[in-house]
Amino acid sequence: MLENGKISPRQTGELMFITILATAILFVPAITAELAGHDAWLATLAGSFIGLVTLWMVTWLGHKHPGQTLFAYAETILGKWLGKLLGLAYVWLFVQITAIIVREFGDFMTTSFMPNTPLSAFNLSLLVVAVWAVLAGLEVISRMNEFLILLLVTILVSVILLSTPNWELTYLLPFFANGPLPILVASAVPSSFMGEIILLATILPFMTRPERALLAGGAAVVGSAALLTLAIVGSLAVFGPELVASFSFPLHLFVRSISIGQLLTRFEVLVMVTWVAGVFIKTSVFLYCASLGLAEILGLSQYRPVVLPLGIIITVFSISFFQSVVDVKEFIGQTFPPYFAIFSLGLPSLLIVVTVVREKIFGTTFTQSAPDKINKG
Amino acid sequence: MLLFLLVLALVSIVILEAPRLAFAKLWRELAVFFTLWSFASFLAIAQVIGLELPNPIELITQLIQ
Amino acid sequence: MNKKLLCTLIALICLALVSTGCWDRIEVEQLAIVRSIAIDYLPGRKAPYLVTLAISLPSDIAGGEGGGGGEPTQLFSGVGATINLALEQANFNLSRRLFLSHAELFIVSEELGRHGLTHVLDFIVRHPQVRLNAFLLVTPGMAQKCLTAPERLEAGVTEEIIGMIHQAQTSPESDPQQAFKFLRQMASPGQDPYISILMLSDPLTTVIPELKDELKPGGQEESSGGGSGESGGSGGGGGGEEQEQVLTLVGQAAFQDDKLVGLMNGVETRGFLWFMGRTERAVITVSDPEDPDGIVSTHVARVETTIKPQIKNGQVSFTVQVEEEGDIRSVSSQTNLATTEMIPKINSAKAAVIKHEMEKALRKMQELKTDLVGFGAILNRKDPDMFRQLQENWSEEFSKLTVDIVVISEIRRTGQQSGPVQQHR
Repeated sequence: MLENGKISPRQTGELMFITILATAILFVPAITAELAGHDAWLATLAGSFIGLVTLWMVTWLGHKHPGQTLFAYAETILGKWLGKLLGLAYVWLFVQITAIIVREFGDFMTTSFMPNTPLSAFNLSLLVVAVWAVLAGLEVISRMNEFLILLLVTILVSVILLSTPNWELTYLLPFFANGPLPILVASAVPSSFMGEIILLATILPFMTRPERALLAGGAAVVGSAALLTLAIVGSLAVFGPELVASFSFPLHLFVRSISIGQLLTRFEVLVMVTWVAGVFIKTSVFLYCASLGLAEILGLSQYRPVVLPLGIIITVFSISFFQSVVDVKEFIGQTFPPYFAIFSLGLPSLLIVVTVVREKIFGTTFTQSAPDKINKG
Repeated sequence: MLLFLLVLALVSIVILEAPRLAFAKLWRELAVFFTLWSFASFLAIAQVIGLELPNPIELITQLIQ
Repeated sequence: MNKKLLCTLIALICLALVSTGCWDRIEVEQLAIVRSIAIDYLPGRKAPYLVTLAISLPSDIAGGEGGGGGEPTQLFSGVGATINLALEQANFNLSRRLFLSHAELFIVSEELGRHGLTHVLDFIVRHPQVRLNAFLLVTPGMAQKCLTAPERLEAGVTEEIIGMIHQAQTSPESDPQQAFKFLRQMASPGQDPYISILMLSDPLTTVIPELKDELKPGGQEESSGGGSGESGGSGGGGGGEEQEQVLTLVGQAAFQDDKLVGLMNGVETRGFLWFMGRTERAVITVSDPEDPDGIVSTHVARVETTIKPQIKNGQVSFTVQVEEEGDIRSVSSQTNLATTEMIPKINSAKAAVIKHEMEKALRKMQELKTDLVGFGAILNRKDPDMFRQLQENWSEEFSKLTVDIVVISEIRRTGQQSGPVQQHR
């Protein structure tokens, strides 16, 4: 086995929760408000439904092929070469998403806090830490996350509650002013974040009780959707949909607008802390899955040798992928949702269909297939 | 200066990983490591010296639209 | 073992590289902490923006009372074609780096308001340091002048104005708003934004000639004028001929999108605030029903306003219902008001006064075609399809809108005495 650690279902859920929430909370409000106006928060709820669909497919596949990761059962189902190709596509996806996350992180930091610091300084320092965490293994990331999740959720929730004096809930009205279509269109963006639950396909075999995966993943999707919705409701109530759509990082300005008395103010540093912590976890999880996948496809006995080179590649990509923050927003809003849907909905359903067809028509039994059969590849 | 730092970093990565793999006689891992490492080095150096490489993001964008 | 050493060494080097601080590091001693920013617009010039910064020294803030001497606030100005250029020019005179994170006040001149606030608002939102909970104020005349006014109760002019703002937020003469509230009003369809007016007004000594004559040069200070709000009191400091003007926060400027279209005085603003249901602590006077010369002052304790749109045969109208409760604060006649006949009379008289005030404000807003209350937004919430038809020229629609105002007014208490002041006859 490439990974000897085991994590509990609760740890898995928490890991997925932070992974989804960390970047979604910064980018989703502006994009959904732009597309859905007052109803942006409904779009998030609609988006979480797609996350649940992905989750169901992932757990179904996981239970069909116990002890195997996404990369392993892709080969079992599709055959050696086709399976490897599919696995490589996922590795590429994870590498790419990691690069985008790191880029978002750097852009946010330079926009909001340190405008004169070069992007690469942030990107590099984040990746150094993430590589370190990945080298330490899944258990270490999970345990780190258990501590950070407390910090993150407490700060986010309390900051949103502290902003309630600024709320003007009438800005959420009227519901469905423009019919359900804009909501559905806007839900594409949150759904692509929710679809990141696909990572569970890699992590599932390392759970102490894989049968709890559906519960853990469901809690992660629903929980992060709830917190995201709360954040969107808050920013809409404080700024109104038009302003939220025009801001680069609504949540940041939202936090900045809090002032209770003249004492309770300037919370944005707290939010920066949570954001850095969350992105660190998210980057680590993605980098971990990419490294593990690559090692598995190439039939290595450990994933360690690929982590450092992947780290460098991601650093370079995080800088070279986009010219400006406009490109980033454009990509996340326009190209990414359909592109990612291929991986979060399309390919898993393909795997399910092939599994069912092979079972029903050709009589292949998958459930008993031994994991070590794959490691020869 | 930047290039020098980069090369330093790349070399230190080799020092960190390669001997460990070689001593353990993990030749397959070593090969994979070096392939990936040279790809990464190529990308990083190209970025630092300002070489224009095709951007995968643009390809994807065109493909999707 | 050797490898471990190497790892640690590399980690240490990395840490050393990172922990020296980033490119944006700067020490507090090198910062000029800007507390308020006054922006003037000088039309007909190539560099029309005159930006004046009120800068506090960190040591003075830490020092608290200040004690010794020296100006707590220093003013720096610059002009430029944009605010950023003006800031750059102001920087030429500064020995420290400008730091805008603590700017709590933006004062813009009426001239700039009439030109349009887009540039100022964009600057406020976009700048990484400026905060959206800074307050926006408009001043007739030069904005710079407001910062030169003497502070009287607080340590610096910014604190003085901020104090006045907090005061005003609980009083009925104006409604100072943070920048983000102005922005969201401006952005939401069917609503126009407003900004409170800060102005320099003559102290009472110059307005009332008798007062001036009695004041000997360098004489004792005195004060007057409590709640009226027209002018805050007299300036005792200067003495002699040159009386310094005092800061006054009253009234508001009505905007259409980002452009100032008209000023509303204190009375009109209060009329407007009835629509918003935040006129607690207002003083309303009605004449004594028995004795026409007597004046009854009442104090507003609780207000609740509900605005409801009505659509009949494609025509939109609004009903505004104000429920008000208050106490009697003073009576200038000998009438006993604490009777079951008198209270309803005062109630209806008071309701009439409130309604009159509101109608006056509404007329003013309709004249200016600025929907400060957000009737359009209320309609949008109730009937989005109807509003969508009218949205194109809502300001025209608004100026012809029929609004029924219903005021229900109650006197609940008569203060510490029930009858009139007792005189023996």
